[in-house]
Amino acid sequence: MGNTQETLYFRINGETPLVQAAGQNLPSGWSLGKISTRRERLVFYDTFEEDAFRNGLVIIRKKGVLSIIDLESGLAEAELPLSQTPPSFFASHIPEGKARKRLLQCSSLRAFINRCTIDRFISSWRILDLNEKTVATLDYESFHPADKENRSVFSRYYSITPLKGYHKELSPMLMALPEPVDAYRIVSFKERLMGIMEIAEPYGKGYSSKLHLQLDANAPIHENVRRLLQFTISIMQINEEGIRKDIDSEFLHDFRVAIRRSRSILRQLNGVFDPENSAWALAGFRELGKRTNDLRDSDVYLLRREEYTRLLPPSLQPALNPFFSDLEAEKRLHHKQFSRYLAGKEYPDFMTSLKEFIAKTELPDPETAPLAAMSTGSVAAKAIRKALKKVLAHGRRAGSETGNAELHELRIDCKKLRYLLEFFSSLFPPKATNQIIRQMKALQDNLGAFVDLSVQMEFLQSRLEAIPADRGGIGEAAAIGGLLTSLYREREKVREHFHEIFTGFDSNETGDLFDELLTGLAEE
Amino acid sequence: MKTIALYSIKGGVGKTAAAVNLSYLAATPSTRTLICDLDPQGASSFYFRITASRKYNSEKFLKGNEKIASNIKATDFDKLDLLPSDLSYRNLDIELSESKSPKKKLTKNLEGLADEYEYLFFDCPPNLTLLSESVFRASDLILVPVIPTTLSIRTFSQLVDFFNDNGLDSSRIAGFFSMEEKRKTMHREIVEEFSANPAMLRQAIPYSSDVEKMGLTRAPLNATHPKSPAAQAYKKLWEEVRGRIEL
Repeated sequence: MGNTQETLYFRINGETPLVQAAGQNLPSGWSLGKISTRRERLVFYDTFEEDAFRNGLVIIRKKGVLSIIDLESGLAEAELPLSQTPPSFFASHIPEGKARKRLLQCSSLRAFINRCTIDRFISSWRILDLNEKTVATLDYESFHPADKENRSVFSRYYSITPLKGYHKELSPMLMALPEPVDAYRIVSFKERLMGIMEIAEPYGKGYSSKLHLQLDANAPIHENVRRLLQFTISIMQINEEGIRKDIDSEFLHDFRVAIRRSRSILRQLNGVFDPENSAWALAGFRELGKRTNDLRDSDVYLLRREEYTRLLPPSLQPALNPFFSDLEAEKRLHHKQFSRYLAGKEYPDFMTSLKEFIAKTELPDPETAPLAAMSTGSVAAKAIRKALKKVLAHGRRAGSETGNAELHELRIDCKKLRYLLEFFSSLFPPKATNQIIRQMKALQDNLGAFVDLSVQMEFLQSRLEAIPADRGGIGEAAAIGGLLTSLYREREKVREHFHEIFTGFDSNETGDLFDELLTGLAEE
Repeated sequence: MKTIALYSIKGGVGKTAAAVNLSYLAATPSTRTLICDLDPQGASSFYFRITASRKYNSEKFLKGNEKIASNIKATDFDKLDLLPSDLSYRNLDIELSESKSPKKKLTKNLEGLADEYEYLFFDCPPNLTLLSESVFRASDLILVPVIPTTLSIRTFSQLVDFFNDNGLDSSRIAGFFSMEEKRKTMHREIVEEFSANPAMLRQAIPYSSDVEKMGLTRAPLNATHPKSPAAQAYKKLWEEVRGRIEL
């Protein structure tokens, strides 16, 4: 449905027009010539998080061609033959060229998924001038879901596309519309597309793993923690299908973040629920998180294939092949195991119990759950101060030694603080929050890189120790040795950098920012 | 972009008919084609039912690139556009002689079109002037319709001589027999005589009233009567021409 030329789209104002024939209002001597009535199947692709859309692009497969269309102009930026209609594909798997480059800019990690399929029926006429020369085409289009059971009703549009060199003769062309032109409203490509998407209900529509809860500082914290858990549980459920179908690694990633976020908040705000009634939930989250670890590890190492290969000289690169094929085999196994777990009894039971648990609106007994009735603002202030204190204390202690264990622990402290800040962000002035989040991000990136590199080194070390000697093991050992050297060097650089970043964070400025954030909350 | 000029010193030899039908055949989804009507009589513009906008004239044409691009119009046929001529083109020669390096003018003025078109056809007026020389320099192939008569053959030879005398590459000239009437002995003999001449293409276009009727249908013969003998001949001629310019 992209354009090659400038097309004007018309949507009838109000109700369906009276049945009038197109072209009856044309100036004398002008006429319409019917070209065709045809059907086009449009398959809309985007990532689960609509990365293309957020980059101002629409991706459509039509008649064996995948078009990447600019949302504002409706013009195709890049095209690529695509004979099949894959359920999903990665940008990195399509041939080199502009299309691939544009899609990689949208997302290199997420798969582009067939999100909805719509049939477009078009009747086309040529608008002929006095010389019987075609000066424009008039199209009437209606959309229908390809799924016959779906009875969604879409808007219908007329459109006029002047031929090249005929843009200046628009006014007689407009008279080709069945109704006088003021019965219509001109709509942009974007508006038309958004209208279609609104009704088409594409897979994962409006999904975002980002937390945006609008909290009332005076409401009891019990109510808001329940809302948070409602959000995290919904994120987990939305991602289940993508995990089962193994569409891309981000479904599991978001699923795991939702688990961690739930656990972290429950643990940091203990006292919101009666521990006797909520301990099972904490344990359940912990268990669930653990069950995803192996699959996530396989995903992460497989995603590093290109990076690892690049780190090695060409002579050692092929030696990594057995390493990655083993990882692939392991991943298949872990994926099967976890999918089975999702479909089994334990997981759905856990989710049902969770939903029942958070559906209970009455406040628990203040004896066993002393925080429950307290205001969200005061709990937030206290919890954040406590978490910040921990980060600063651990960070300062890590200052001299910067040992692996300290940095690892500090990373977890930072995550805890970050989850609190994100949960309560609507209570704070946005500017100060953004500044704090930015500073925290720098610190977390550094610590994240450090821990990631350490974990990778451990993993590679264990692989090295287990390499069978009889399977071209020397080459692989050399390759892994090469990787370990590079990763080690990289990690030590990150470690050195830590001081600078932590000092930036552990400053008066940050202290003031936190004061700005929290002052006023505690008193409410 | 490959550039093909339909050219003859003589008029009424089937230049425009060839330009219209060959450009129609050249235009495909992967080969966008422009036909540039240089004849002030505007015959190819007429065949495609296109008139130039009122403000367009030879002066704009000589300004080149952008002025040209904004006056190009789409024909009724996919991927085929036309730059219409205007009566003011009758003065092109005088105006050209006043410009800097007139013989290279056309090449320079059409540079900008190379991104947009794979084939460019010139439908030239019947004379041998400064404009013709500019066309010769800008073209990869100068395609010359030749009626199989003694006079036409002589004019063709004159053109080859002109190229050789003026430092132009005469191997870019390709003649083809046009309006051939098999029942005429002279036609048969001349076609036979030139059958091995490297400057002549093998495919001839037969004389056909269908071609004359293009003035009524105002559309390429290959679009309206693709099965007719003349349309078939154009199709084969285009294949031969394409082979020639893509070697």
